[in-house]
Amino acid sequence: MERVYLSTVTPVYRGERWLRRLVDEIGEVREALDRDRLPVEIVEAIFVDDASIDGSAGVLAELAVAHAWVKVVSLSRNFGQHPATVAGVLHSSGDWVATLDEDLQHRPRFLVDLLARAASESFDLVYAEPRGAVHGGFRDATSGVYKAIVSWVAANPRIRRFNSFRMIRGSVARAAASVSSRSTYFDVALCWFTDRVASLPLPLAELRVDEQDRSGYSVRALLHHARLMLVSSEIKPLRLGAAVGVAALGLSVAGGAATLLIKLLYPEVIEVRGWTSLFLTLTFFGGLLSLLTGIALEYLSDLHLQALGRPAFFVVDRGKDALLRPLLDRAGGPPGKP
Amino acid sequence: MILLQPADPAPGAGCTVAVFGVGLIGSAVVSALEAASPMHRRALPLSWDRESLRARETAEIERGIVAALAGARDGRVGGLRGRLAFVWSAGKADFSAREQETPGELASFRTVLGIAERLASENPELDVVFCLVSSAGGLFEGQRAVRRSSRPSPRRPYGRLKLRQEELLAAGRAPMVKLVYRLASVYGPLSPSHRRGLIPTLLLNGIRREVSAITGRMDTLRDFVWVDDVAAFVARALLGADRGRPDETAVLASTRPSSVREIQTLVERVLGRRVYVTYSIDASNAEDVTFSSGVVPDGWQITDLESSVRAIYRRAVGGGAAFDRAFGRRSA
Repeated sequence: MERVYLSTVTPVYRGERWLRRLVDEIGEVREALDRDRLPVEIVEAIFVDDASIDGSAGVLAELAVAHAWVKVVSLSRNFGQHPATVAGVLHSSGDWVATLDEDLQHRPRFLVDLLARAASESFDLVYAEPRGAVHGGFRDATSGVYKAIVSWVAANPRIRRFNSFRMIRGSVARAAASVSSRSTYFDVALCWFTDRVASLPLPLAELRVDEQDRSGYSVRALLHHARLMLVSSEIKPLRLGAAVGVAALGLSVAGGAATLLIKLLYPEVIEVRGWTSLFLTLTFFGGLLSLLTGIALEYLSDLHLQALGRPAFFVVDRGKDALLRPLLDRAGGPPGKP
Repeated sequence: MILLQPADPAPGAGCTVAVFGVGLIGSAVVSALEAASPMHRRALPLSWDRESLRARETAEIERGIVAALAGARDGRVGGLRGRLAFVWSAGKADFSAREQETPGELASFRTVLGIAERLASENPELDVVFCLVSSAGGLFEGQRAVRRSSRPSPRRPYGRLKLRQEELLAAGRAPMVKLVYRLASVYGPLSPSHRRGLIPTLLLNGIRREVSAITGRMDTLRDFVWVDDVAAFVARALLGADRGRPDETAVLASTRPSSVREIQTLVERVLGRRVYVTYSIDASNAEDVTFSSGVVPDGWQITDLESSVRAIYRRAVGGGAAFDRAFGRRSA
């Protein structure tokens, strides 16, 4: 039977307490898929040890010995969650790649639902959409506001959906990971390769907060994420400057022509001499500067995105999606849809 | 083939090694062995195609091996002692070989294996190691996350040839250590004489600003290993293979899948500019093959992909006029 292979990727930094349970739950999903004769196999669970600061490395070593499908990648130093995710994705070989946090906020039992949602309309990327509060009211609210602002600034409505619990088509995930640099926000890079993005409402709750009253994300890390999201995006308002410049130029030229006509035909109506020409000259050169700056920034933005690895095109094969039909049949239709 | 004889004539010093096939892998193994200990090198011909020549050439090779062993000991022939290793890294047939191209190579392999088995059987004091360089890509084509328990399932003549060679080696009863190393996609420095894989081709064409035609998809997954890592591992295995060492069959892979597009991006990063690529729509070589981390043997070490690609590039452009002579003039 032809199968669809699924890889999971989990960055690990402070997960000693959760990893065994996480692997057990992934193992249960593997067994359930096999038992239900579904054409999906979790071929590997990749854990990226991002220079973990607790006993995670030892736990992962034990788990890798116990389970042939557990693969551990150790980073040379702490690089952060996104680079660790990118490293994990680049070690994956599945048709689909799911990314999960280490702390069971993202329950493996939802993997099949995410995959079914992806299969429902051949999406390339499905985000889990938190149903209810996840990290606590204030953090959730500030995160939402920031995403809304960046989404508007970058003219990318998909930014509102960004979540670290994702199901990504393997080829798209690896392509985005391969162009991701230190300054790339992984989800923005994913949007360079696909606009077939969906979300699925799921109950997500950060157990770390519930049980230890301490989030896995520091404020500094959150600000870093926010900065990367902005830096990786195309900033549409840059064009506004150029547009204002063009408008000012047009206004000054039209105003100049009108003033010249008035000067020639009705010189008596001009009460204050010199003021109009000064105003038009300032508007003309202000508009010219604004236009040229806008053009220069557009060039810079283009070069920046090229340097970050934004592709000219990418080819994708969605031919195997038909194999996922049994997931939809089992769910009685596409999940997340009324 | 290349016959390596320890430079130190003292009895028991070093290991005499016969390397069959001095392409990308064979020549790297020879270099690694020479780097590990001083050796005298001798080249002897072995025809792949011409059966009429093969018998005479193999007889000459066997005489050369016996002479090298005796010379390494005390100058006498007969009652051979010491250590002798055979490395089969040969291959006129490549991944895209047709069915009719493989029998000649298989016949040559049988002949060489016969020499090794005869010497091992007739000389109880002689430690013989036979190392077969096989192909993980050929054996496991189309399989992902290959594990130790995965069964070879070749899909093309080349894979079937490698599997048959492994079977012939395993079936032998002669007292010798059998090492089978199944290699993932091996890449190495640019060479005008060696077959070039994806990475050297993209680098070379990138340097010359020429178009690379890729028979695969952008998202085809492969596992790339640096030839020097393979050679160093094989050399260590041969030089450390004492009598009583268990036979070993292992995959030498990075266990880190790379898509063709990732390699293209990497080469562009190394070159500092775009490379021109066309992908074959009807790709016959587009099957994925990847390996899980538990599949590799103890002691196997890999060089980071980007580091080795940069090393190839530096070695190529550092060659200056030599590069231009070998590959044609570089574009500015």
